[in-house]
Amino acid sequence: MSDQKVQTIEILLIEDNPTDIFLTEEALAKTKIVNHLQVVGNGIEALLFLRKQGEYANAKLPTLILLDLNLPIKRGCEILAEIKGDENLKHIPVIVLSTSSQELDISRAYGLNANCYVVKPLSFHKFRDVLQAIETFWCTVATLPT
Amino acid sequence: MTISNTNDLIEQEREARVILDSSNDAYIEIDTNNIIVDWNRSAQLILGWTREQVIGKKFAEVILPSRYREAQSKELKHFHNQVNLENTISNKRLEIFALRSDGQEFPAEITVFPVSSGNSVNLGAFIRQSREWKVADHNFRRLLELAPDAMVVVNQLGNIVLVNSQTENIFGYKREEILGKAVEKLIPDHSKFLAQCHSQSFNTGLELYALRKDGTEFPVEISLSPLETEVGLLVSSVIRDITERKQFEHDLKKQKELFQIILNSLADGVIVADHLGRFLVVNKAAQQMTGIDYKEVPIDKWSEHYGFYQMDNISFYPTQDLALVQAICGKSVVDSEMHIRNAHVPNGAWLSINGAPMELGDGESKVGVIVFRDISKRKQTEQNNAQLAAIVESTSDAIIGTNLDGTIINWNESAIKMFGYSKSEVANRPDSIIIPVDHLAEEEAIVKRLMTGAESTTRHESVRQTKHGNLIPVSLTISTIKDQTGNIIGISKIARDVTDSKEAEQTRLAVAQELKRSNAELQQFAYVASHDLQEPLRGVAGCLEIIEETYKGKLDEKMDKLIRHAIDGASRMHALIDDLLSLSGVTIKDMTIKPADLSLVLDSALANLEAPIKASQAVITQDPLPVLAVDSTYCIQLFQNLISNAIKFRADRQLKIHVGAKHEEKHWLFSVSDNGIGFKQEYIDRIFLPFKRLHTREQYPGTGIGLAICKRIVERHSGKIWAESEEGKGSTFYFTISDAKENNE
Repeated sequence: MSDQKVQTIEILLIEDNPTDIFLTEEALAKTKIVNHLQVVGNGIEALLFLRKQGEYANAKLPTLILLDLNLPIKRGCEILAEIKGDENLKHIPVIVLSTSSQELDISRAYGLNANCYVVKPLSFHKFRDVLQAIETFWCTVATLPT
Repeated sequence: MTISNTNDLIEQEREARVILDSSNDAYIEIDTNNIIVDWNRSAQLILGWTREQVIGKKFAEVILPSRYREAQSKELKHFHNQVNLENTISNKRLEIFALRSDGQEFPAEITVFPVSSGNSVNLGAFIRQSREWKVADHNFRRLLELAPDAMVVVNQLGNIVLVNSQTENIFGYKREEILGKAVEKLIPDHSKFLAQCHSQSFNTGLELYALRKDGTEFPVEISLSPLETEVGLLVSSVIRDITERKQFEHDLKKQKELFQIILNSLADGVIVADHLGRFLVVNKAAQQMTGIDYKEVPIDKWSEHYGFYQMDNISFYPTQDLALVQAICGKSVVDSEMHIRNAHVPNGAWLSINGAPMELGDGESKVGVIVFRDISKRKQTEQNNAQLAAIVESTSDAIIGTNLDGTIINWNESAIKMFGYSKSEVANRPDSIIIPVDHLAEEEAIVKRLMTGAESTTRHESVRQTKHGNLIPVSLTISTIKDQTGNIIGISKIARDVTDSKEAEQTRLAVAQELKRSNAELQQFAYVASHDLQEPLRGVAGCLEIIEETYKGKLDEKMDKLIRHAIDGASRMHALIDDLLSLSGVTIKDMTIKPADLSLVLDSALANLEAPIKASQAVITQDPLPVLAVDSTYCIQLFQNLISNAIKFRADRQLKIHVGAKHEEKHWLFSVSDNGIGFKQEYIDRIFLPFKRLHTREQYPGTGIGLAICKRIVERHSGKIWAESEEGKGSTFYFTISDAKENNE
């Protein structure tokens, strides 16, 4: 485990709300896994980032993508569809984060090959636990392609 | 005696016979025993007996009235005792009454003389009618012969003793053939009737049958009169041939019968009454139509008694105006109409009556005759037609009748109003004048299809053109008109102006669309708002938690409490938004209606509630549940919400929950009842409203959306939900679900 602590995992957060970004950063800062969080504010930025285009030419492909569904310009689902439709990107686990617990949203996200759908808990503590669990699962339990 | 003597004697005898037979006087010869031995032709004519009838009979008994017989017998003895006969009584002439075969006595002159006959001496007698008598007798006989009727006199033995020539004519016998014969030869039943009539002195008008010589029968009328005579009671019969009269009577009877048959076979009623109002004729049809019989009812009571009413069907018909009364009074009546209603005709009938006065054959009796018929059907038809016509004219639909080539025949008031053409303007014109050119083919096709007889009525929406060229949207009903035998004789077209309803329909559609749009918008709004509300809320709550984590115990106690309250408020708001989203979700989501076993649905609901059920140790019972067309996901939620409510609001006793199901007329009635805390009946209306709570959150947590969602679910299944409760005892929630195969929303 100590090796993996050294190995920093790259996490891309696609989120426009500064409060959410702050809360996510706060929560991730206190997890056991060392991570490097990159944040983009909308879908177009996210795709530019992932495709290393424009100002993101030097960007590193993330290990995990945290995708908020409720985004300006391109809705979260559209971004998800593009990522999962992109041969170079579709292997990256996409964790959908949403305030919606609506069946409709959940099934649509899975229908677009989301790897995981998480309803953002209201409680910050719970949110932190959720993120911890996600990190642990995707970075230590699951084996991802390199 | 020599032969020549003998021949002489024979010759003498013959000459004497010729003389005797040609004598106008009757010649009778009797022997010593008073027995008749000879009787010439004149004897037969004068005395009525034939020779054969009297030879061998006693002289006195044949021709002497009884009062002479004793004297004659003495005289005869005395005569035979005489020695010299020839001297004693040669040509003794006597005047006495003699008796004829018909019993009539007549004054006769008798000359008696001895006649030698071998060894004995017979007596010969010439009898001649006295001259006066002869005249009287002659007259009598002429009278007899002139009588128009046959006259037959019969003696006590029933033998005919006298007939006249009419008898010969009528019966076809010569009188010699019947004189002395039994009268039955002519009248077979004569003696029978004679026996009946004996006691009476005179009988007239007996009708019997008589027999002619040729064996034919014919009817006769016989008058009998008894006649006391010297030879006993004789009966004279006057016999009249009544063949013609009988025939006449027979014909008359037949005519009467025929008249009766004709009268009774008439379909029309016939009543004849005399001037006193007595019914002389009421034929069968009249009786059947009116119930009138021959009973006498005073004229002024007729209307009341027989139920004669005026046209209004209420007032009695005035007596003096009745057709029969008019006819009796000498006036003719034509086509008078009257209503009759009585016990015989309980439903009433309309009669059309003709009446006329008549004089009977005698010229004195005047009677009234009415002939009438039942016109109820015609009246009914007239009334129906009038009613139909009124309906046709008063309806707001245009009704147009055409014949088969489309020529307008009927055009009602509404057609005038709708299309602007008057009745005279459309008369004999084709109905294509109101059909826009581009609809002619459509109309033609419809009429053609109807003419095949496949359908008799069609309905479609079309357009018609008014006189002024305006187009009207119409709903058209086109039907074939058939005669009684089913032949199509015309087309009826009923047009309803649907301008208004078209507009109304369009408005309705627009409103519905608007409603749908605003509903969708609202739902979209609720959905988006929930998301957009949740995010800042999470921010507030998250930040507060970080503050709490960071500063708990480091600030004063009051600050800690404030932060805690802020976090609680945020989390409650979160829950409310979540529920609001669920509620709008019930409205948004399309339902998937398919047959589902509700016992499995309930099982799922119970499985979802496994933990609280265990915790509350609830005892749950259920009726058998049906299979119904429902959205099972929603129904799971429905049961789940109701049962979790029951668990949540349990009392301090063993919780019992029962799920009931009962089939009613068109739906199933379900119930979820508990023995929990219940609620006051006054809150009954509030409990199904969203976010309405009866308890504080401290007592019973929750947002108060559960029953509102239940209501939505039941209503989307076209059912109803309600509750009954008694505070402290428990509650029962009822809901219905239609048992239709497909549950239309």
